[in-house]
Amino acid sequence: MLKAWLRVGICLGMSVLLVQLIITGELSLFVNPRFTWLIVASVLILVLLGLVQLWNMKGSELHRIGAWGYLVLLLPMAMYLLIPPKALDASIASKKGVSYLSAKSVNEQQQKKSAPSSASDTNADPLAVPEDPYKKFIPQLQREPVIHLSQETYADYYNTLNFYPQQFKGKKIKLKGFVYRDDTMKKNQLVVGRFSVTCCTADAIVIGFLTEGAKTATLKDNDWVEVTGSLDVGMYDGVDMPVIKLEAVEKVKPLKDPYIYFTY
Amino acid sequence: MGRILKNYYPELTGVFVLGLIFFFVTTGVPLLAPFTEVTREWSSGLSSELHNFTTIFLSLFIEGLPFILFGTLLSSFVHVYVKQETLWRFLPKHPVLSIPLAASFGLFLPICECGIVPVARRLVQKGLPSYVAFTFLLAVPIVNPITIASTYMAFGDSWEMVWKRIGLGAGIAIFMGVMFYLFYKGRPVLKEETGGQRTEGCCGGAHDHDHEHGSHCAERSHEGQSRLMHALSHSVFEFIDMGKYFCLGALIAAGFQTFVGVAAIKQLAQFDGLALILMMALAFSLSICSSADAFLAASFRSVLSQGPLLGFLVFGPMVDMKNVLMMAGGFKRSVIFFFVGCTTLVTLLTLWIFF
Repeated sequence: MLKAWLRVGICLGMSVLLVQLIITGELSLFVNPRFTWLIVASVLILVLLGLVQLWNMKGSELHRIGAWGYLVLLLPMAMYLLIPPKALDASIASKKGVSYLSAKSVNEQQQKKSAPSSASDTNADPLAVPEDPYKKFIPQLQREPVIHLSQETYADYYNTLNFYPQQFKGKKIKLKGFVYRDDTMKKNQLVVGRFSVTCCTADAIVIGFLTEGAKTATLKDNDWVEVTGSLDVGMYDGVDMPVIKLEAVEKVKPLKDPYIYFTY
Repeated sequence: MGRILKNYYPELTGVFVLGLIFFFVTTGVPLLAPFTEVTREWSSGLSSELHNFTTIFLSLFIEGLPFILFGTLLSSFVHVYVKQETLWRFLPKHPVLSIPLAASFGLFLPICECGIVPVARRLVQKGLPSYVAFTFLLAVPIVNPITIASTYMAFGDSWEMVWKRIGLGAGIAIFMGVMFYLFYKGRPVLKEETGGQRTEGCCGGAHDHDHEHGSHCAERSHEGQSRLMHALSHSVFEFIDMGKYFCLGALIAAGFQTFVGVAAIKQLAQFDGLALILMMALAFSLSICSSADAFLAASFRSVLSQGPLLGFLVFGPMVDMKNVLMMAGGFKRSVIFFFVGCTTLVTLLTLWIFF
């Protein structure tokens, strides 16, 4: 009987937890908001299962489940309550590693380099030379006096800038992000970046810009800042990438929605 | 009064609970807020690693939960509604046809690897040959539209990586299907249940494990209502049974991400010979969804060559911690060793030789 109540508790408790996450908006700390409908569906299924269990309290055990199983399943709720989760920050960025340059730019530039040898077989397959989705942003970005990376434009602009760093040399840029350093950077360098989330926070990676200038010395890891600067081109592992020459920096409050969500 | 309650209590509790949820959703009252405010206070002193650990654990858990639920529902409905004889009438008998067919199931049934284990286990129990089931289990997370789309996006709109990923995934799945055909044809792969029911269909008669359940079964063949109820109440158990392994897997994977870190692997992975093995180990221990792992793999592009990247992309969806733990709940230990060992070896060798 205790086990039957535990099953009710697990099903309904989890749905309460999920509803709580949806209501407080904390859900976006865990999964990309485009999956919200999946979570709502799980709430409904969990409630249904909880009810079914309530209606069958006297039913026999269909599977034998050890006590540890129930304990493990109570963990998500216990951990949410006891060690409240929070947005990922620079302290985990060092564990995850930071990509200064998007896969696309590496891909593109490697293709350019090996073009003479492999030109014939890439041309043979029309799918191998796809229409590049970021080209269309170039004129738009070049028109703007200051390239401003907001929540909505961050991912697209980030990719465009990484894709065509040469095109934007000298342009002004402005963005918010957290400060992150690692051992490979010089003293006057740091990365200003955001976490990007594809499905869930477990697959988050830092996408950020290498920033250099004398003013970087005043910034601590994990500070949230708004930086303004001009774009330059640097080299990293033999590939061009954008670098921000820092001009002005201002400390800001951590954003309420700290991640960039990828949609595709 | 008492009698009314007794007669209608399923409906009443249902209405009550749904009303409660409706109330909380529409009024936007965070039910747990009073509690979390207190705990937030005292836990603010804890190290940020612990908070990150909870965040990653919960994110893995919440992301996988819908798929586990779909998987267990599907499996329970197959269990109750599909008769052993009817299901395989449409499947070609000959393994030369059925194995490749199983490898392409995913195109029509886009579940990712979280939901696949309960379904595969149930299908084996319903008499699907194990070689077909394992091909299916291996191929579906890779050969599926969502994974294909995300891989295409992550690797700079290039089909090259997508074709290689699909080709290798399907190839290895088919090869493993053949291996299971050779070594496990006609041999049991599922654990023998002490608790009865799982070894035999509920209405098989021979193994009804208690009287109440037996009569329930006799009844439900006439009555659609209780059959549905049976499927649902079976889902509860299946959910808890699978959920515990899934939860454990997410816990270990989150621990790995917060306390060891991808970056450590990234540094080691620059040594060529090690890279492939390390990336496969990483895929195993991270256990992230096959529809998202391409983006993570893409972030390794600057340091790694194609072989290790493919190792990560192909091996991760087929064998990862969550899955192996979930399989441990239903399949025989020797089968799991064979499955994991053989798949690992084949992936390693293929990538070593060809990439």
